[in-house]
Amino acid sequence: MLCLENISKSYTQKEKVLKNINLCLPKNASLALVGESGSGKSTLARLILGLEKADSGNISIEGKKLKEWKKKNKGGMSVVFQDYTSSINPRFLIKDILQEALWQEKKRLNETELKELLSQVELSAKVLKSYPHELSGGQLQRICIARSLVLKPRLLILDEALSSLDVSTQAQVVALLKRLQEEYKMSYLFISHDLESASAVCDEIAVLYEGQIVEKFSTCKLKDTKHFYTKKLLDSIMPIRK
Amino acid sequence: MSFLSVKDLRIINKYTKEILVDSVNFDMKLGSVLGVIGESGSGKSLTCKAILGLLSPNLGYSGSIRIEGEEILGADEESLRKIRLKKLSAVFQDAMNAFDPICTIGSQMVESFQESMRYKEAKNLSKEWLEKVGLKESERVFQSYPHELSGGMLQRVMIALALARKTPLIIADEPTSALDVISQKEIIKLFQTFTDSEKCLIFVSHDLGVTSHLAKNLLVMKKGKVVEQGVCKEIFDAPKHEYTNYLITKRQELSKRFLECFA
Repeated sequence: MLCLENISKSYTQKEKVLKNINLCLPKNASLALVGESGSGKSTLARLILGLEKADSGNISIEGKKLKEWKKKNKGGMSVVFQDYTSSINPRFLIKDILQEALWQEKKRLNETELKELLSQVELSAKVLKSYPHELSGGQLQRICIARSLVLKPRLLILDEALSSLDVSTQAQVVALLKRLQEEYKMSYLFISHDLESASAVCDEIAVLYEGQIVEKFSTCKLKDTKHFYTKKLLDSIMPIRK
Repeated sequence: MSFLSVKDLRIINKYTKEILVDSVNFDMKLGSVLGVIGESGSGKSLTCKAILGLLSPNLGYSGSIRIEGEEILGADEESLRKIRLKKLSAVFQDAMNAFDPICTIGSQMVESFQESMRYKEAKNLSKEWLEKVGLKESERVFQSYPHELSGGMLQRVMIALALARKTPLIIADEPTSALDVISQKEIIKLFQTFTDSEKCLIFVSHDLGVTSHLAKNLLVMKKGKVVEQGVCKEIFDAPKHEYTNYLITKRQELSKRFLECFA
């Protein structure tokens, strides 16, 4: 589905944010990109979305170059960011927020489609006529996910989409993501700093450390990791201690 | 005698008459750690603010909060200031907004010690505690402005401040929620190291996992009410209220696959 070859990116001349990144995401698969703040995770997401340009290297989706693929497949790729308050317009009604995804097209969603979309993310149709400030963080993040699904993308990028939510809401959204993946046959690129939620959503995990992929393994092999940073991450997980 | 006792605390919004916190009761002895758990909007932070005497004027309250017998609710500013100076310190969630962006970390730290000591002493004390909380380049941190430090570092500075003041009660309101997992673990370790029989800690969090590593007693809140309280271990073994049960199962659901990988 998505292939990154030798991607490098720098903002200043001194330092490279990303160094020679090679990654592959197969169809209908989910890959987690785990790393600390400042490791270049979000930069990579912005490169894949085409919001920024890489200094060198190739990004291809479904065998085509990113630029060409994007022209032919509008809405084929979608994104959910961490900060839900700044990714929606506070003066829009929820229903307009959902319609926003279609702003370049003539088509609009009708009432039943809207309701169906909301039921996908387990929200009632009542919220359609509310403003963002009337909803909780978890609800808004689910609205963002719903909006990202309007165009039925094949690739969904989740950039720290769970980090600002309560633990119980996180668990809900994880279950939701798992279900949607099967229904819509999507590929996920899940960016996070938390191995726990990454392992809950994804089958494969790549660890990004100081701009480089230092390790890549399938989730079930978590305990055989070798790199010191991965071990440190593993050590920081705190499940309920009885 | 208990160090802190909260009785029938009730907080309402004066204008909308909405009840935000209702009949919260608990006692704390020195040397204990109380975990307060609940989803956002459950009144956890308001309860903390009430203990710190920081409720905003548009909120009405009733009940009593006593620290070593002294009433906090309704106390005048001067006596509140004295209580805070000797007995209370707080660590908040949003470290970026807790510091003044145009003053150096050092000047802000020294400012909070200067009531009782000279500048030089205060500076040495600040640097000593910065090192104790893991900020090894204490001189550099001391001279930095808040924007030059990362969120995790600022959080440590705030904890250093709270610990250095040697107050018996520390209120930590979601101190790790804005941090990545590695800093989170390190900060939990700090709290574990520096809470002793002379101190008590109120640790507010929405993450049961984190709380279970620190707290001995637990207070579960939902929509302003305490739905369950007691010893941490007992609650985890046999939750009585369905909401507690819900929180625990959701937490376990999230870590299920992770733990499976190690089975």
